[in-house]
Amino acid sequence: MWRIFLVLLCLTPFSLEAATVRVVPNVLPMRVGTPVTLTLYVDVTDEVVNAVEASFVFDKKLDFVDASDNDSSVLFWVRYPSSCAATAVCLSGIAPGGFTGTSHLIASLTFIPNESGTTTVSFDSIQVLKHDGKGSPTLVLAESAYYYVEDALPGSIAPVTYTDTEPPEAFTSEIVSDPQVHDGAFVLIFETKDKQTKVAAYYVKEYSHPWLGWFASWQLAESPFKLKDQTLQSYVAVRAIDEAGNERTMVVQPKNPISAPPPYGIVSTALLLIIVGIVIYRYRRYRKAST
Amino acid sequence: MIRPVVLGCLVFIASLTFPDNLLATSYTVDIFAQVPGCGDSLIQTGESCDGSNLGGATCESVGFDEGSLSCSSVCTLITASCVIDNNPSSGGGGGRNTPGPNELVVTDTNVVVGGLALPGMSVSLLKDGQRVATVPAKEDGTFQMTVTGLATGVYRMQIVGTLGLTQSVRSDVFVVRVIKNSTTKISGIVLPPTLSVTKDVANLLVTGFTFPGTPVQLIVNGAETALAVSDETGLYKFVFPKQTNLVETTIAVSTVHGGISVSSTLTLSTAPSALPPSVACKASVDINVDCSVDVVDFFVMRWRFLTDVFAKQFDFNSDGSVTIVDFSIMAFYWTG
Repeated sequence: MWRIFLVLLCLTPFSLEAATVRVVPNVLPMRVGTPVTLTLYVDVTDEVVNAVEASFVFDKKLDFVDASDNDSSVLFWVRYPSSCAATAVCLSGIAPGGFTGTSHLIASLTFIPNESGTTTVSFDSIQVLKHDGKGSPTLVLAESAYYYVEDALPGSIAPVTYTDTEPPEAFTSEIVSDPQVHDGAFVLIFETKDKQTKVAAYYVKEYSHPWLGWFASWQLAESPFKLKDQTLQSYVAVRAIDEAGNERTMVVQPKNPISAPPPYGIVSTALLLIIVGIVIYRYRRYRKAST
Repeated sequence: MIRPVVLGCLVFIASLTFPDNLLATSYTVDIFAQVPGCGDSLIQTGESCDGSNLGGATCESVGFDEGSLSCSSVCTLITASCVIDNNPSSGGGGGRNTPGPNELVVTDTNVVVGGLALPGMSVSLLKDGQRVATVPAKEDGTFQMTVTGLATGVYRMQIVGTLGLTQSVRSDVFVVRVIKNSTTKISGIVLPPTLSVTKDVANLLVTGFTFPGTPVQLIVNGAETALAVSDETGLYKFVFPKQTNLVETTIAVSTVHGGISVSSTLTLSTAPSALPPSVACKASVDINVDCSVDVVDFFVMRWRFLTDVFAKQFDFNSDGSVTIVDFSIMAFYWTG
């Protein structure tokens, strides 16, 4: 059953704004139970901007399920797009170097409609800040969008499939100590991106020798990650896994490597000594028996 | 004893990687950049061309052998119709290499970035805000860096040049769309002059470095004020009286090099500022005082921001709270 979609653009009478934030697509047939992705864009004129903060609100007919920053002009998230209320997604981030021009993707938000009828999405609050060293605000025009959600189609919803076959970007990790973080404990800082989907999670493990890395267990981690080994004698592996399951692992060498022989060397030497001891023992017994 | 041996074999086998699609029969490269003021037919700061105005550039001048050069809608040179006859040039413009019709090309996914900086300047490439390569500019000011092993996708890149610890200049951010198994070349990036301003009772002293023997235009509050030529070391200098009645004074210096106009701008304010006027070692945004403003500073600040109510150290604009504004200030001084 087809309905008419009503799209309302909150246009101001004058075009004085330096930035316009909008939702794409702004006309879309939604259907109960079928995921739909709305992408937030910002257009910037006559300015260079480097920071965005927004609260994106929707009504109860939509369930927020996921966010993506693939191709986003925002390079570092202060707050990755995520739920900040039952019907709101908040985000804030920066773009070192700044950007200007039209169609800068900020984030893509995926919703699943749960009820038919008219539904609304809009920006509750938004700041787009100038790249001027002072964080001066720009005048922002925020466009709302109205959609109509149709009843669900009979049958099951096809699961989301990923065509991403490439791992997250190679990255470097750094061990630092700062009195502002974990009372000055050594922490690991890491950050990478995935160009096809997004980094779903980071894992960290610490081990005193490369061979022991196989036996160490991965731990879900977030940057900055407080290291267990504050003596910095351990190897630290960081693994980034994207949504499609591709992974990239980087290893940080120990800053204060253990000078003692590695454990497998000890074990090997001990085994060798035992074998040599057994051989000598049996040889002596054989000599004694033969005489 | 057996298990580590088996595991060792597995490690060895796992370490053998087989790059896929080593043979590619064609390249497809798309380069675009975000440049303000593009479309007015005037080649301005950060633009390599504008409309039909190519600034005298040709396929030959950007490293190809022949062909037709054009200008993109975002004022970057399009070298898609430029060709290299035999040996690919390392210094070409943004564009693609064109292999012969039956030629198989073994390649990786790379980006080659080149341009002009001040001789001896330390030049770094930021990829999505993180420093991935640093090289010294040669005696003639040219530099070139290669980033390998990239995934297909869009990258935001920027060149940062530093002289000593306190003089730093940056290019505009340029957006590169990387296609698998292609080499994307970006050239013609010219770093602007360094710029620093000192005050005495009555005057402002504007100094910096650019290419030796280059005319430097001083622009104060949008008006062309004076012209000077840099000396044999690249140093230029202007002295002009302070305008005490102005709250803000915007000072820009502009030069033209290689047919490309570049400029640096600095705003002086009579209002108190928590920050030095230029990126410098020990600037307050450099939280871990390692002479760079980078991802470490960001995550330290972010962690404290998300876990604590207020940390005065991160209140860069001294407004009594840490907000996205303070992160914006950090982004402005970012060095990667």
